[in-house]
Amino acid sequence: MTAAAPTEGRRRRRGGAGYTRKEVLVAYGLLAVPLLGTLLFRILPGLGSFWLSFTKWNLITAPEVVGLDNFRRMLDDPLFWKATLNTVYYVGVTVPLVVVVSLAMALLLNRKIRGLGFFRTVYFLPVVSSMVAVAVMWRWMLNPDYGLVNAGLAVLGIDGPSWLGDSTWAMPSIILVSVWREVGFYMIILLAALQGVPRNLLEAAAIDGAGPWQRFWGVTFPMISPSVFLVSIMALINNFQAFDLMYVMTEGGPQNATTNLVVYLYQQGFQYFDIGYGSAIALVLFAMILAVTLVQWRVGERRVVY
Amino acid sequence: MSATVTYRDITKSYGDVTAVRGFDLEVADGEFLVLVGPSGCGKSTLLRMTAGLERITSGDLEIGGRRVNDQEAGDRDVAMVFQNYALYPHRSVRGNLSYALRLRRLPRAVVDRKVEAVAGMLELSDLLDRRPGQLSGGQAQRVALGRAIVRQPAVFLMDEPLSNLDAKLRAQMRTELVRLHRTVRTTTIYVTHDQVEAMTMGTRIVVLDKGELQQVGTPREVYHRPANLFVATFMGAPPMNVIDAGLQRVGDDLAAVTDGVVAPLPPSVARAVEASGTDRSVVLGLRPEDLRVDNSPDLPRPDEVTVVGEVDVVELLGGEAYLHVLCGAQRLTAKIPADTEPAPGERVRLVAPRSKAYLFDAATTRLLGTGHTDPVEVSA
Repeated sequence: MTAAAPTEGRRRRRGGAGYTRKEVLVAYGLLAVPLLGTLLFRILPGLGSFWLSFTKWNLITAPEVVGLDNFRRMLDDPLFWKATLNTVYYVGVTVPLVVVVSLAMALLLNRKIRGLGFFRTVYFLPVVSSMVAVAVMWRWMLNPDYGLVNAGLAVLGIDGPSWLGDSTWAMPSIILVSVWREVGFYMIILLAALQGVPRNLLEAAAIDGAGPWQRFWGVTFPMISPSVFLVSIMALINNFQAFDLMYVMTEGGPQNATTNLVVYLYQQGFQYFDIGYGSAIALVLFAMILAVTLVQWRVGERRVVY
Repeated sequence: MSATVTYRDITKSYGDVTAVRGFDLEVADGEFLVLVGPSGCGKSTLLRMTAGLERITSGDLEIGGRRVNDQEAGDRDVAMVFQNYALYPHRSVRGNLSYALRLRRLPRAVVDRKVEAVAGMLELSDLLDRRPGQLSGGQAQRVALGRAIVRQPAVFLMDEPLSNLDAKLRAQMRTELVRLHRTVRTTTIYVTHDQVEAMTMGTRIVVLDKGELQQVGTPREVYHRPANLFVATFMGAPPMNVIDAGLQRVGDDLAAVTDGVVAPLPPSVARAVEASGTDRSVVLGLRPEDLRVDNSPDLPRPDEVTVVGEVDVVELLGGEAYLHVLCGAQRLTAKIPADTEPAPGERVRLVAPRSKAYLFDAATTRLLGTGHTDPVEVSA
């Protein structure tokens, strides 16, 4: 005690919050690397895009400030509304599916079954595969003439549609692929949460007379609800920003059936070189994600019980 | 409401490991039975099999005369109190207490009435809207008890329910539990590794070691007539002194003798020892509280066990002291009044009435005999 006291005093004086000057410098030095990266590649481009959304810019001549023109244009742009609807369709179906399927898989893999490690690996494989490779592989699987999916359906006597070439089936196909790719990741998070549920609680519920279904809703689900909440927010944000699958599998087609907001802003910005309009769409998308996440947060706060 | 519990040749194995072996016992209706033993002795496994949380490998388990081996935990009409309480953290105290009742679809008014009654009994009425995270250890413990009581089950199962409490609270809850049992009169099977809990709470004690039943009896029987060396040394604090000795004739009497120790046997014990036909090696057991310091010159006396040794350490506990004495290769503890304590290094003579000596077979560790007469047996 007597030896420690003066050291404590010196630390307080120099470091402010109980650290020596050297420790503080090292800490800031280490923090600087990721902070600089975030600043350079996230915050500055974000601010730049924000400014560009009030301009007209074709990447060649100097940007021309046009005020709210880009936003006014959206109101009368049927394709913008189509892309917004497509985004809502895609997110609205994909996110609940991803959450339910990954939870179901996590529940199955949380049991003591044979080949557990094998299944966990298999389900996680799509997550670590390259998105473009996944898209190309599925484009081949879903090919109406020589694809595996229709070949399989043919065995059952079903004449499969032209999955990616049909404006009705293109979006469901992409949703299917994106669920297939994402569930493994969220499954791991939920599996970790499930393994954190104290066994005693489930045993207590069993002795209290709760059956498997009642144990799930009465104990397991409330206990993992923070993770389910995290998973649904992550899935929501990620899927609002979906791009690669649509771009590689359908390029937004057919008849813009799979053009979501990100694909649309990419087309506007980098195919029609209307950076200002693209930036404005990006800003609207950002506002949408923020709003939905805030709502979800509010609801979640009330619902997440533990 | 309450029920008997019958174990018939119950065995539990995990692969090659046998956790409980051939356990037979009849637990009477309304009894407070304590299963006691060191960790890994199989007591918790036995309790979990009773609850339906572990499958029974072989044997029959009956609750209230019905075989329940294949019944789900929820159908056995038992309630369990867990060591870590296992309260549902996302439910209020009221929610924890009412969960089992609501699962049984009892009318709301009935549930409320039962919950209020139990909360009143356990002084939880002001805490009903709190979450378990906002409770102290003692309060959480009472909620766990309440959750069991509110169901009015046929049997209470308790798995070391007091071991997470501090010493003072534990002592308090011990008496509270005994009082509670007197009120509700429900068959209770209580698991503990704490021999003090076993002695103070049980109407009967079951001592287990390595998955096997060592002894069943009232606390008095188990303490005063331990079936073997394990029970003798497990029950009692500080534990019984055990001294390897040989049998010799001293004068007309048979005595257990080793360096510095002479223990003349009472005639009844001598007869029992001779009848058992043991070879000459025995284990002499002396409880620390039966030893006293006596340095008078007329020792040894024929009716007393005498131990001569050197004081090693003296532990002062306040009104009494533990005297650790080295006697040849053996180490003994005596519990003596604090005012008579000798100094370390001093040579002392410890004596005990020969009727208080226990004699065990060195080979089988079984009790050969003791002159100790149980006060209850005398009056009976």
